[in-house]
Amino acid sequence: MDDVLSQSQAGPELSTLLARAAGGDESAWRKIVGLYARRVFALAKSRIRRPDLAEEITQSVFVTVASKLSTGEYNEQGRFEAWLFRVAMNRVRDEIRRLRRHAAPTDPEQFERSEAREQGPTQVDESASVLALPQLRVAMQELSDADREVVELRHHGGLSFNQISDMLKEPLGTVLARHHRALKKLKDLIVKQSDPAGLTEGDR
Amino acid sequence: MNNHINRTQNGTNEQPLPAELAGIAGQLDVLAASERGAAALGIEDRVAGASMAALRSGTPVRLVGGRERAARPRTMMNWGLRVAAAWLVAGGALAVYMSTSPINPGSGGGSSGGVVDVAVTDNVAAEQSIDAVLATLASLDSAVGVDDVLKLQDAADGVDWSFDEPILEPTSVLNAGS
Repeated sequence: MDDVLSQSQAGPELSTLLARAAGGDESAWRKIVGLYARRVFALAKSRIRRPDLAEEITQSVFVTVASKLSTGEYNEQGRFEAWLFRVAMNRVRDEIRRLRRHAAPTDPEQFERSEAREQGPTQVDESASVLALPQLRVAMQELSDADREVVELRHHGGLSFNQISDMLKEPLGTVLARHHRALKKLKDLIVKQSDPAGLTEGDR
Repeated sequence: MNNHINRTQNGTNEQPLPAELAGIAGQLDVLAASERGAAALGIEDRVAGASMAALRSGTPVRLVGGRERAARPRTMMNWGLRVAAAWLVAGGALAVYMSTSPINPGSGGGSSGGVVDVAVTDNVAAEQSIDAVLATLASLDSAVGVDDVLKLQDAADGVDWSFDEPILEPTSVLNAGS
């Protein structure tokens, strides 16, 4: 994720790239896509679960962004990442609404839950070296939409808390509190999943 | 974990997470990396290509990877959508599906319709395929219809229609969509 961090710090270089892309420079556009496409994809896939739909969303996000850049509608100087992920999050929300309207028997979230059940409980370790990714995915679904968005924007999108605060138009303290609350809940949920007795840390 | 340590040092005045939460944050970073890694090969090419093609042609274009390419027409039909589709195969390099459905599966956005799905084989650079299809798109009306599909078929005259994995013949797709 170090590459994500350096991309977030692109600053003046990013402004130059955006200006060139807006002027029709395809190599600049390709660089922008290279910097952000997988982050947008990860954000979409985390929520939608289907890689094909996540890529579809990613493509449509960048079509929108390219269009606004080329027509001069982009006016969020210095806030490109927050703007990009706002577009992405709106597309993800639209898709979720669409999927809910057309609820199918093969709901991706149910699939995820059954997948995790099949894999059974995983020992929780304080270090990141022992991972319980399926359990973590399932636990993410238990978060409120607002908390989950903060987690996904932070970890999947690689945004700073300041950018998330700017994007969601909420005070930084609120965003930080949500993130902490979400992490605590995730931790408790994973412990609960791995402990059939259902004892959370607070119970011990 | 290192990601969080680094992020606190990137000038955003973010405080380090308490130790009890740093572990789960590290796991979330690994999960996010796993999601990014789940993108199909060549996603950057397709995303950049779709944007450029849309800008150049004025038509929303979506590029479809190899694995999905094979499934897409069948998916369209299974969804029961009124779809007219055509294959335009240029040297085995690409196929074009055109939807006339009011609900366009390619758009993912509901009722936009008229999105052109361009499927690219894995071993051909997206931009080559885009250049090939743009000339055809330029001749189409903005509203995509069955006539446009026929134009595409005309454009493909002389092209080898033996797609590597033929799922549906162009004619049967057209019939099913009418």
